[in-house]
Amino acid sequence: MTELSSSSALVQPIHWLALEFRVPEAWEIVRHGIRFESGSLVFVDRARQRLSVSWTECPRAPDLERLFSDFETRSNADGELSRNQRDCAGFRVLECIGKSAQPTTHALRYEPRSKRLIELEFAHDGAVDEHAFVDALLSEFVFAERNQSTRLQAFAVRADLPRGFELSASEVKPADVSFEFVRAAERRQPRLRIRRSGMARAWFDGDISRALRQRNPELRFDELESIDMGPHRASSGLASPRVAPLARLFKRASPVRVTSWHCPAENALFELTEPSELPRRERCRLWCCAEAEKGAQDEH
Amino acid sequence: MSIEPELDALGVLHSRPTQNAAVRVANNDNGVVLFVPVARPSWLRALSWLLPLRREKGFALDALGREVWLACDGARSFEKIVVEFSERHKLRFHEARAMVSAFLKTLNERNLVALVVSKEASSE
Repeated sequence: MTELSSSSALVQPIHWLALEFRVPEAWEIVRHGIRFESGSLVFVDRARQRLSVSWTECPRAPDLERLFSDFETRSNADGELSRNQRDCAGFRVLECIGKSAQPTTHALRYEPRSKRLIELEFAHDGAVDEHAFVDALLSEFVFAERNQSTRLQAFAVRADLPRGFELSASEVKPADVSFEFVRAAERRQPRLRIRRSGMARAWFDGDISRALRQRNPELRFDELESIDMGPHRASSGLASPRVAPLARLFKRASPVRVTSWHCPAENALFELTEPSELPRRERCRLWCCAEAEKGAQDEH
Repeated sequence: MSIEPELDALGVLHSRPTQNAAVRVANNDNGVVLFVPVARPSWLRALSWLLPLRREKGFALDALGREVWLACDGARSFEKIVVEFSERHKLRFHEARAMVSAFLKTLNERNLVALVVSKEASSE
């Protein structure tokens, strides 16, 4: 395999809705879908779009050859000129030249485990050997079944989730990212929430307990305790949603455990909200810095 | 007046945000206050000898705003300012870009900063 230059080295792992792959460090997600059934992730470098990964659920394997031929026809109709077809790492690959003489590569694959059609589109910048780059990127893809995937890694968040939880909502703002998960079987309650707030030095005064209460006005906290979260001190406690008594009576407001800590290495505040009834061994693991990861490995 | 061509993403990245030389700067504890002269039509300027019209408008910036303001030295490109901001605050490039560009847009609307575009960048 050809050695890739440092700027195109595939060093940034992405885990998203049972898809796992790596992209160059400088690529960032600018659009994301949160549904397992269909959606896409769009990556850009500093100047333009570089990669889009789309998925569509297909209960039965489609006729890939026909799809690929339609795909080629569509690309040609869009003004692209197909150059080459080949197979790589289970993908059917079509290399094209775009209207502005820019090389583009399309890749298509049906993934039987997750029963999804995966479609990729790369725009090359001419800085690296496009063939080697595409091959390396495609060979990094790993697929999992819908309910087997427990990791989410994107937007500088890395979490190992309890089995059965699925992404249900996301809010991605500059320096403030949050994800919400629900058990697939119970769409209403209980929810698991992860929040990463960056630029902590600019707004965080060092009092985690106060920050926790201020940032969650909808929760009524019991006593907060100080616990170790790897090398960091975290504040953790049970909280109940501030809801009408009747809603509480009908168990529509289950208590949650909220844990929050400041990671100076990431200059971020992490917050994890989990259903209180989750057993300790099933709790979500939310990673911040390399130091925290090392601490967790030492514990094991 | 000719209409300036719109800049593409690369053009913006290579532009150089530059402070308005007419701006007076006053430092305070938390940040900085920028005073920009108020532009008035000539007839109102004549009246200003008689009426107590304010000659400057002040804009207070916090520590983060001051940081970006100081970076707009005309030598650094927008891209460099964003990279430095992202490294200092441990942000991803596009997060930093969204924040810096929103802030520079505000400064630009208040005539505190101008984006200087080189001829090569604008003709690309």
